[in-house]
Amino acid sequence: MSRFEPVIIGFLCNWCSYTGADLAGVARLQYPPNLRPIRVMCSGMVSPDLVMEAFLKGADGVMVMGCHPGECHYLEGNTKAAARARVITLVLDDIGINPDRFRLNWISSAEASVFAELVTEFTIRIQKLGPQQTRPQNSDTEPKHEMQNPKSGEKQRDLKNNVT
Amino acid sequence: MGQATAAAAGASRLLIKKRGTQVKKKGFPKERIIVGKTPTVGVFVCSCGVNISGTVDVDKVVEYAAQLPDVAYVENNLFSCSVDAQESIIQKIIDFKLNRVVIAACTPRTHERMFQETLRNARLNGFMVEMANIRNQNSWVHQKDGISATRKAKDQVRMAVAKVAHNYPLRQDRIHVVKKTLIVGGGVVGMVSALTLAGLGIESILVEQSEILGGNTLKLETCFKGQRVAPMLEDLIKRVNKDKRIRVLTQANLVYVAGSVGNFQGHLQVRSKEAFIEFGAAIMATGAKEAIPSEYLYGKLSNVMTQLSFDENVLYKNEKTNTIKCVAFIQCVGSREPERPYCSRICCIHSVRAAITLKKANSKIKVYILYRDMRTYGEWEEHYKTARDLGVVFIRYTVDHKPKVTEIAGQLTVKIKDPLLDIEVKIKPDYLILSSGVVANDNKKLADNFKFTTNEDGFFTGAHPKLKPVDLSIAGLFLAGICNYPKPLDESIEQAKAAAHRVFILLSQNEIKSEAIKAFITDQCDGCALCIDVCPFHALSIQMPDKTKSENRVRVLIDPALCQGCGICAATCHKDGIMVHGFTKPQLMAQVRAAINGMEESC
Repeated sequence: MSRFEPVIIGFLCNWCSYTGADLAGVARLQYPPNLRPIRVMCSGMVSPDLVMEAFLKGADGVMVMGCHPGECHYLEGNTKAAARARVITLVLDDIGINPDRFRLNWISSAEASVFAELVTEFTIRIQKLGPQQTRPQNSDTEPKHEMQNPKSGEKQRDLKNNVT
Repeated sequence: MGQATAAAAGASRLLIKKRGTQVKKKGFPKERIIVGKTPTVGVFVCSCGVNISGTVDVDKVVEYAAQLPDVAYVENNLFSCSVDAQESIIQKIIDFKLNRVVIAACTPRTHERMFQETLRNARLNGFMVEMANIRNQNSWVHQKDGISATRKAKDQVRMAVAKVAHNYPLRQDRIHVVKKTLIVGGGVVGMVSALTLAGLGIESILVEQSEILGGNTLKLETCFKGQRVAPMLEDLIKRVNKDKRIRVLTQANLVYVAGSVGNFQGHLQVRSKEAFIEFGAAIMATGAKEAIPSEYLYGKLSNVMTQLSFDENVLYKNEKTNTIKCVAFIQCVGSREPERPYCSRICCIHSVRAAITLKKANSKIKVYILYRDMRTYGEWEEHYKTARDLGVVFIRYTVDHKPKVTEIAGQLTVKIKDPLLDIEVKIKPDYLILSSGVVANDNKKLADNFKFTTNEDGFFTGAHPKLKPVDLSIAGLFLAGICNYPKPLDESIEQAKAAAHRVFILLSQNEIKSEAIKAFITDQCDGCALCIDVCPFHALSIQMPDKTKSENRVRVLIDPALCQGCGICAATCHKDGIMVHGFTKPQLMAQVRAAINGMEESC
């Protein structure tokens, strides 16, 4: 059987990470071809709905990439993205998708090598995790969850503690 | 970039009389109305010579794109950005009545604007184009795996086609430009900026918080190249005061700022009075200051001094240098340590120059410079060599083994371990000079007023250190001098000219276009106000219903002048009540879904 080629959606902010990714190209840095980049103006623009939609439609991994803290083009969009990432992680766990499949990273417009390394590392991680099970086999089947019995009570408590 | 921009200021000054005489105004044909028309997409796949086609099977991508929904026309170009290809794209848009275009080529960061113009030339709104970045983020980074790269290129094209189907025409508002500059800080940098602008025909308001112009330069005797500073400064002040295009306000502070690029309004406190000003751009030239040391008996003994006070009280008073026997300098005082990690760049040169001045005034004076790393960078290396030739003794120390300074009956003793001789050296200087470095002024209020940020050391940072060194992150705001980072006077002057030229480019236009990528309110907004607090630019407010018009809905109101289009509001709103043009929920969702759907068929 051929190697598992995961589908990874990447939300890249226009000012830092998208530019860093462009620079990786200019420098001819090689990384796995699994990332499907989506340009956004700011990591703070990435609604959790988009991340969830990606997973529910069957993405094997999602990366959100923004500017380093303190370097956001819009002052604090990345800190908002970080706050949302914490919630996204909890929700993923709750609905039975391994939160390791989601990742938030800071990449400056100069850090082409960091971009290439992180994408490589994340792709390998997802390859090890295998296909994400909510990926519809055909349109009729209901999504299957990786974790059949999430300890929902415990998770909800976590949510409360972290979000307040 | 800074130097080049400063040189451009000089060239513009020479050309000012002829400026604009040979300009041809670019015009675009009237836009076709496409509202209500179903998406008809043209896909242009670029080979970029062999940059793309060397890895990606371009023919397969073309073939794949042709069968995607809404796609009416596909072609491959050798270089989509070439003049020929542009013509061809325009012709195809007309022939096939395309109302949306996907360019699968390089990065939108460099070429989107160009292709937007192509569309406008074909009577389409510029925002009906999307780019699929199959070069920088594909062929260049997957050179060894053509099959996967081709598959990824198909996915990228599919995602772009899916998004562009949701694109709609956007408008850019025209903003009238107030042809006046606010310059904050009346030091040499502020004055040079004002004079450069005056030479280019732009008026400025020079605001200085102290009683006199001159800033830090008032404390300098000579600049690094050795010329005396005072005559130059006098001349500068005279020219600034004489120029009708410069309004000087001393003892003035900026209290409040509103507006945005091209159209700022500010309140000034000038002595006891208030003044209202309007300006189209502003230059921050607030300088910085010498750090006050907290080590080596500073403040306890009058002969332990900082560099500037030594210059003022001893070095340039000839009668004093006649009687001195020994002087020691300690470099990096309080610098390059965890509390203040940066190098101030100018203190090494300053000390070396002071040492040369001492030696030249009286060669019998023993001069020691105790340093961690000597940084007489660039052409200042010459000074270091001269100092050594004149017999100045340089002794290195490490941050773990700093010199020890003691005092008995008024006599200073500096103990330091010389790493070359491997013995402890005792120096008994008449004066001990501490090179304490540069610290930022308290810029927080100014930064808050204009809504930009300082770095962790309190300095202003350019929008891009290499490409936009004198632009601040907010459009219409610029910086120059040591409020940016410590630098010698000549570099500061260069930045002053560069900042002036950046302002000139902006203010020489009668009107500018606003960005189209801004937030808008949808019918889903119920006025819950969740988005208001997260907006970093305070662009959102709540609008109460107008009872006289029998409205009953509370809605959020956007100030388009303040909105920067970041979309933090859009991601916060879970009702899709606020979105950003060009990056709406339907557009991004379409991309997400397209990235996953159809994976199999693109294999």
